[in-house]
Amino acid sequence: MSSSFTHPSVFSFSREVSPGKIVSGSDIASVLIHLIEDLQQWAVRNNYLVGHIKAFVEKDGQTLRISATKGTPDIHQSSGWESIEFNSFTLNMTAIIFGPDAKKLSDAAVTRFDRWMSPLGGYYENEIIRGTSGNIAPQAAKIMEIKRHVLQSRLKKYNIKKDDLGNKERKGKS
Amino acid sequence: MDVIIWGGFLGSGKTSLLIPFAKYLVGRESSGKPSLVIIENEIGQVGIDDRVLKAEGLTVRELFAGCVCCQLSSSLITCLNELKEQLDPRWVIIEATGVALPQNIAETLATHRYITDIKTVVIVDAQRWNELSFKIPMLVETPVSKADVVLINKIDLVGPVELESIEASVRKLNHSVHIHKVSARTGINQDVWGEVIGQIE
Repeated sequence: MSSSFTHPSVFSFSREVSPGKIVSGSDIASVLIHLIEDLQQWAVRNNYLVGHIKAFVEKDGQTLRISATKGTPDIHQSSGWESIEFNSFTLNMTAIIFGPDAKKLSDAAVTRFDRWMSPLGGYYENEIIRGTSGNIAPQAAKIMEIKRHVLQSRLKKYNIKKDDLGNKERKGKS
Repeated sequence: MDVIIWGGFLGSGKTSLLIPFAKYLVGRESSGKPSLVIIENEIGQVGIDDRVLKAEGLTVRELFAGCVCCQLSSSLITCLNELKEQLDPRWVIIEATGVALPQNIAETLATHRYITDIKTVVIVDAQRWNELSFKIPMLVETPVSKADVVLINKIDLVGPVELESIEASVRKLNHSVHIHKVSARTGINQDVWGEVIGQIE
């Protein structure tokens, strides 16, 4: 077995969007599906692996959540979402993708945000864009190795068999 | 507090399955105090799953911008201490990031004074199991190998032969694990949650 990817890049994104006209929940869902599919296709074209891409919008307790890995995005929305009217909304979005560096992912996500949001018109306010580069997998592996080593040293030092460490003992400590 | 570590690779359906499971757990408790708190860990700086869970009426604490299995373990300990002092719930579910190794979290919490039991539930993405096992085996196979319960999700997206093969792979990695085949998309039978609780309680 080969391992093509070792760590993902992460891009988190929160923007308040004021379209400048009234838009429906259905309009927002449609735009977000296009945006997410565009980002998925970019990942496929570059032989990257999509961890996940998620978008979330909420207004007055009504929610829209779209998530995708490969294939058609999953859409979860409150009943009646399509007909809700918005003059502004906050969009939260996260993309975690194996392959590109953080800047490449960030550029791709922002470009696609602008591409798909611009037809709604208006402007973005209270702009918050945050991108982080993950290096999670190697760190996790390294820490697991260190923990294993420390545990083995302790077991040896105190002459404890590994089978003695179980949930029953933990329950007794409470 | 009994801790359930809710793991699984990115996009496997952790949050989609956690919502009905958490509601099932809350529904069976009769005491007035909060019986369940979810600690939501996300590696991005902007959380999404916490908002989804809160919108479902669940009690959530957030740990963002890092992974509790390797980067935020001290934040997790602090969070658990605060939960004990403020809410003292019967259950705490830690929804790990999609790149976490749940056993690292379990090791971190193994000697925590307020925790009476720790169990690990890992979600497997049936649609991508073969692809992910090939491309990033450590991140998908290691969590399964240490799980108490595995939920093979998205079974509506694979055929019976492939599903059988996935189940065999999971069993090969972990002989003693309890396996359930589910689809968050088509809905989960309440009996499944009853069985899962029985297996981790």
